[in-house]
Amino acid sequence: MGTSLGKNAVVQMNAVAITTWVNQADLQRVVDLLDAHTFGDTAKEYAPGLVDGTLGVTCLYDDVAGNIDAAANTAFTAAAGVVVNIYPVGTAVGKAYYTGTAFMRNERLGVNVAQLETLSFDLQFSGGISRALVV
Amino acid sequence: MGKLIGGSSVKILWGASDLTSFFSDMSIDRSNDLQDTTRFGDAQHKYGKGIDDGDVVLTGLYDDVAANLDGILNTAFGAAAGTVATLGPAALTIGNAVRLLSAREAQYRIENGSTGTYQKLAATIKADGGIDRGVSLHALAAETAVVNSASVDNGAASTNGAVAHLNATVATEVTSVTIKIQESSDNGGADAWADIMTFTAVTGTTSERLTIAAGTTVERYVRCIISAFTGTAGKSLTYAVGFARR
Repeated sequence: MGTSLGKNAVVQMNAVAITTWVNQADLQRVVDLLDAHTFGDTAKEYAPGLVDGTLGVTCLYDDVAGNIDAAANTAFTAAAGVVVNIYPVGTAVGKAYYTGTAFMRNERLGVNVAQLETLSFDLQFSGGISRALVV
Repeated sequence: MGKLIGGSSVKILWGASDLTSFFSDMSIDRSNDLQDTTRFGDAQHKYGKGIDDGDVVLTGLYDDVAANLDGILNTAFGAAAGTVATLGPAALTIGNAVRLLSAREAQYRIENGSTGTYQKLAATIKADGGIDRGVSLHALAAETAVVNSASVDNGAASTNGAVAHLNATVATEVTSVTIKIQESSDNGGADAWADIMTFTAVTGTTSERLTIAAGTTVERYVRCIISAFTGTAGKSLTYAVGFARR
């Protein structure tokens, strides 16, 4: 069985391992399903169209140079996007991972007087996401 | 992992005012208006980067004293010019990250809860020209004479200009203070420090936002200095400087 605790996941953004700060990462892959039903059909039919993908990340905020705040800012300002790799169960050989180029669509720095500060952001993949195995 | 930061360390500078003690919650949102650039032949959606945007929401307890929160935010509401806002998620120690924005109040809400709860105030702020991430070059602290602050190392030069904020919140017996930002490729070694920004001479509490044009190189090291400080015997200026490369 290939199940795993979330703590084993690894997230890399622009070659920076940001896993240390991440406490949630949600990868969503979407296919545009195009309604292809016509007169005479009794049920809807669909044809697959373009694929798409997003990654929502939540982190604990850390402003030390080279850490998550700097990495997120690099991704936010990158004109051509950044390469993002997600390893759901770690980076051991043979494990599946997802990779693609993504733009940061939005970023939120959350501060509350009684809590640890958080940094969350949504990454929009451009050109799709590839699934591969670690070699 | 570097330091984890509790929300209690945040600093909120609004023009010439330190509003930190009035707020208990802050969210800083930045967004890219991504444009779908998918064309025939593509199997996946493709996107291009559009225009940046930024919003800040501040929540605190309502305080109607004229010099306090309600008075200050009321003055800024609908003002012709944006407010020079410097936000420090992790205090304003030199080198710590800051967010810089020209702030325009979009919404101002006073929440009257039940008879047994404190009134709250929530301000929604739009960033006029986006929100820049930068570093503090001077903590909100008092200086009484000419001084060179510690430099901040960016690791490399940058090539697309910059923006800088001065927020001076307390001025005592001040006649004129000249605050500058300087650069050097080697931290003032063989490459002597050179002025790249000069704030308008400070004569009292004030704030100012300066920019260096896009496409301009800023050297690896930057620092802020006071190059001239005149006033009477007890002169003192409390100020913060934030600097963001673009």
